[in-house]
Amino acid sequence: MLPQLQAAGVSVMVVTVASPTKAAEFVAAQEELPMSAVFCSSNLDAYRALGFYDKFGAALGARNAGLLPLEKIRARGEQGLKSMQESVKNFGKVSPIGLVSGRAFALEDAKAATQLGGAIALDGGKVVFGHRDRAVADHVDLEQALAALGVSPV
Amino acid sequence: MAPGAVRRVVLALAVPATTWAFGTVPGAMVPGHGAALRGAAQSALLCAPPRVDIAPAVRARRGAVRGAAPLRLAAEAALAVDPEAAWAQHGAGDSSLLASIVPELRVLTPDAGVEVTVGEVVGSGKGLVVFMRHVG
Repeated sequence: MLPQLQAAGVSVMVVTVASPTKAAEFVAAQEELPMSAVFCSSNLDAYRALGFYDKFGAALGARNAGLLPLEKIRARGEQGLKSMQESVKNFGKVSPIGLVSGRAFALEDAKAATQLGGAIALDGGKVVFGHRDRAVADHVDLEQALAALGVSPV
Repeated sequence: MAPGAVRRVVLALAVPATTWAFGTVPGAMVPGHGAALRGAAQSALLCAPPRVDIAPAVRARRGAVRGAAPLRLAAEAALAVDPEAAWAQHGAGDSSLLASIVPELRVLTPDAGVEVTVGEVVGSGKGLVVFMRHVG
C-alpha cells in the first residue's frame, strides 16, 4: 500500500517505540517498509503527547484489554485472518529483548512493549482523521484514513 | 418450631408413654403426670435455639443485587464512551488541539539518529502518521 499512498502524494511516517538500533534491525529484516519512512519515539514522548493508551489500554479496564482484541480478530472473518497472517509474517524476525534499552530486563522495554499506538491523518496542516488503539489488535482502519485524505482506496 | 425443639418434645412425650405401655415405671400415669409433660415440653422449647428470621437478610441481598446493576452499567458506559468520545472529537473535525500538537512531535530517524518533527516531514501536504504498537 505504501507505493500507492506515495503516488497519491501522501507522506507516510511509521513511528515505532523501538530504539533506532532496533528499528534499523526491523527495517533490514523485511522488504516493504523503507528506512526513510520509519521514525522512532523510544522515549514515548510522541505517544504520550497524543494521549495514546499505555499498559495495553489498562485504563479502559481488564475486560476491554482482554476481550476487545478477540472481538477485533473475530470480526476480521476468514479472509481477514488470512490477511492478518500475511501481515504478521515478519513476526519473530526481530527479538523484542532490549527493544529500547538494548539489554535484557529493563523497565523502559516493558513500558515500550505495552504502549498502544494509533494514527493521524493530516491535510494542509489540519488533522482530518484520528485513531487511537483501545487494545492490542485495535488497528487503524486505513480505508477510513484514506477517505478522510480524499484518496481512493487501493 | 426448630427441628431440635420438635425432637425434644417428641422424646418428652414418647418416653412416659412407653413406660406407661410396658409398665416398666410404676406410677407413670399417676395424677399430675400431664403437668410434668407440659413442663418437659416447655423446657424443651426454652432450650431450643432461637428461631432466626432470614427474611430481612434475603430482602437485603435482593436489594443489593437490584442496586448493583445500574452502577455497573454506569461504570461500563463511562469507560466505553467518555475517553474515546472526547478524543475522537479531534479526529472528527474539531482538530485544533491535535493540529497544534502533531506538527511539533519530535521523532528520531533510525539511520542517522537525527531529530525531526512531523511538520518538517509532512509539510503542508497530505500525510499519514502511523504509530506502531511495537516494532514490526
